Amino acid sequence: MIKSFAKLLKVLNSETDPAQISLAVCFAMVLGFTPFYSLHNMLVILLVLVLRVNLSTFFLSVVFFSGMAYLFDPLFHLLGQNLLTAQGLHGFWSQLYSHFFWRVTRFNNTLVLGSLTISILLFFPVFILSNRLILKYRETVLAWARKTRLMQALRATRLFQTYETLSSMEGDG
Amino acid sequence: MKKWIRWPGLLVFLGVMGLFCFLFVFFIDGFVKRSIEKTGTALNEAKVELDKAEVSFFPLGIDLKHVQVSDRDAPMANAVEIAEIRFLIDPEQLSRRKVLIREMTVDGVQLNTPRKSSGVITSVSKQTTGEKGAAQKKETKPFELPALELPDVREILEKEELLSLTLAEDLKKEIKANEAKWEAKLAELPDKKTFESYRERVKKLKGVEKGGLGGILGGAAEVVSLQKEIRADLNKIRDAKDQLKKDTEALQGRIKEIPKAPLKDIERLKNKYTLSPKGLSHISRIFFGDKIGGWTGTAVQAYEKLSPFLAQLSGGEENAAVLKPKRGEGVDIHFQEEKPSPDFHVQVAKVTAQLKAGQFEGEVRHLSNAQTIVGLPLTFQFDGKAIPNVERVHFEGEINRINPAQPVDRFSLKASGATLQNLSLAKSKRFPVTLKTARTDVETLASIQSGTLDAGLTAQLKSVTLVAGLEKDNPPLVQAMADTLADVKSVQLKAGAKGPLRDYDLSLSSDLDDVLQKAVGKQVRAQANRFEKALKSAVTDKVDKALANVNAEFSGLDGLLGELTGRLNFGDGVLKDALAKSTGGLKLPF
Repeated sequence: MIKSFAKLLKVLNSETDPAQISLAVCFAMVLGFTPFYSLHNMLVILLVLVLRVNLSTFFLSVVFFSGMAYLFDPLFHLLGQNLLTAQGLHGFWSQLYSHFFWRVTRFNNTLVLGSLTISILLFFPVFILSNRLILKYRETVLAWARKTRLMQALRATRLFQTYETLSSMEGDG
Repeated sequence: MKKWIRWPGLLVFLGVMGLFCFLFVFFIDGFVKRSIEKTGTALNEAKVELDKAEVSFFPLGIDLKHVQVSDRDAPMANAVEIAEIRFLIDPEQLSRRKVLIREMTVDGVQLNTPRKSSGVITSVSKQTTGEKGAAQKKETKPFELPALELPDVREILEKEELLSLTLAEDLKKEIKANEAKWEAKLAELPDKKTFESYRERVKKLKGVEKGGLGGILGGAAEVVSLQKEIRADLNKIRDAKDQLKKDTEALQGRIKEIPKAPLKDIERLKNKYTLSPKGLSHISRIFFGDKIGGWTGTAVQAYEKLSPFLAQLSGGEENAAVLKPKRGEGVDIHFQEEKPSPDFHVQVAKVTAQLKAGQFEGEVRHLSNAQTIVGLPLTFQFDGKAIPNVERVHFEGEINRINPAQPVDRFSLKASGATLQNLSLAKSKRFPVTLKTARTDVETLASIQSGTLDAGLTAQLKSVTLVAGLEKDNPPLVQAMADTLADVKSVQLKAGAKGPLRDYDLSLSSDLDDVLQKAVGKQVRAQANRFEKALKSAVTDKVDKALANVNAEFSGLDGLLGELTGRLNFGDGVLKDALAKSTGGLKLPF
């Protein structure tokens, strides 16, 4: 966990595109909030692996959002139940229920529908918010930390330069 | 674009999926085994175990080996044990999370087999202790054969409690209590002494008259007051007398009932100790009642045990609003499908069973969890194969829960050419009867509609040998009955059970009743009359003595009534004196 956290800090402090980190957070939110054995999560995993999103951030965020999901479970169930039992949507759900593909998605499960709906609704707001937070972090906290005497002294040492060279050789996570 | 795409990731994804599929195939057998055991145990409320589950993919099917379903009422026994269950699953329906089995083979079904370990699951054993006995067998009173020889009246009266004697004894005690109550009351009432004192005061007042005008006026006021006092006392006595009279009349009415009471005693004892002509017409009930009652009880008990499972056959809408899901699971909401189908449906199950009676083969059709959707009831039929001592057995039935509000279940059993041997019909020491041999054709039809049983049985017994195991020197009636039974070669039996499952009425009749009625009816009637006469005389003697005691006790109450009358008469005399004093004796000077 400490190693993953350190990696996250490293990514935040690196030149990595903030969008790659934010997208990892958003995909992790979908995977963490919704029940793992759902069809849409296969798509999430495929996208996480194929798109160049930051994997360290993704795995750490999955742990975080899974914990959140446990807390919000009753809320997801309630939302899913209200959506599935809404009179106006009854015809729509009945149509989906008759199709093989949609039955496999388990859309008629209160928790799957409730948590997926919340995840989709929050996807872009979380993406934009985390993007801004990363940029703000780099502009303020990171810039301030780099200007401190301690950091400047540390960066001047041969040991730090060697570490930077080696870690850049490891490549981007 | 290249900055955003990571093509090696696609390979990783395919690798992960491949690994997942490999693990799925590798572990699917164990997963299916555990799922069946878990679901079965939850439904059965006792352990459901299987040795092995084998899943095949092409075609998609499952083979379950050695399934054991524990009996929740007998933990060390299996209610059902099945050697093997094989079936293919419709893959298209499975993709819709529905199990459709077009044909299932169930081999080696056995009932009530012993287990090596207990089938109890702890969470359930604690809950159900209070509910045990829900499917207990109905307790039926055994049918007993009354005495065939003339019983000794004196012996009977020594051990039997006569209701008429109890009635007389109770009444005697009540009279005694009443007497004590009234004696106490009489002590509180004004007696002769009280009235004597009034008389003295009257005499004194006569002396006052001679004391001038003032004395005369004062005396008149005192006379009026005295009269009031005497009248009040007399009223007290009169009220008490009226009440005592009412009490005695009520008790007298009950005394008059005592001589009628022995009639009930005589009737009861007559029915208990003699075989009446009416009792003779129910002899088949005595011979076959216990057996048929026992079989009916066992069948009803088995049905009640299955009832919780049968109730699930109808299916129904799940109400998500009232279900509280487990955390992380949610609730599946079901919608009307274009082509509705049940979650579980076995169209045909071919079954072979090895029961105690012998081997049975048959099939079960439309075993589903939603008859309301399938629109067809569960039906089954079984035929006996090489059953010892039976030529043919056919058992069929229908469990209809298409309309859950009106469940209708029907069963039919036909057996022909069944050989009965050494069947004890009456275990009475005085008249033991055994059906040595008979060939039987039996037909049973039963229906259970909303918990009400309506069953009928007809049996034709041929080549009958009935034996009464008598000792030497039997009374003539006993011998006559034994001879008649020995001559019986065929019996036609009819039985019926009607009413609520827990409290049905059993009826039974056969031509054996008529045969015996004709053969020994006269003798039975004569014997019953002799017994009744002797009984009547003995009981009346006993009751007459008791009645004399009651009357003696009652005379005490009569005495108390006389005492009250005496006081009343004496008091009236004193009052008259006082009245004479106020009207005739007083002369005004103007």
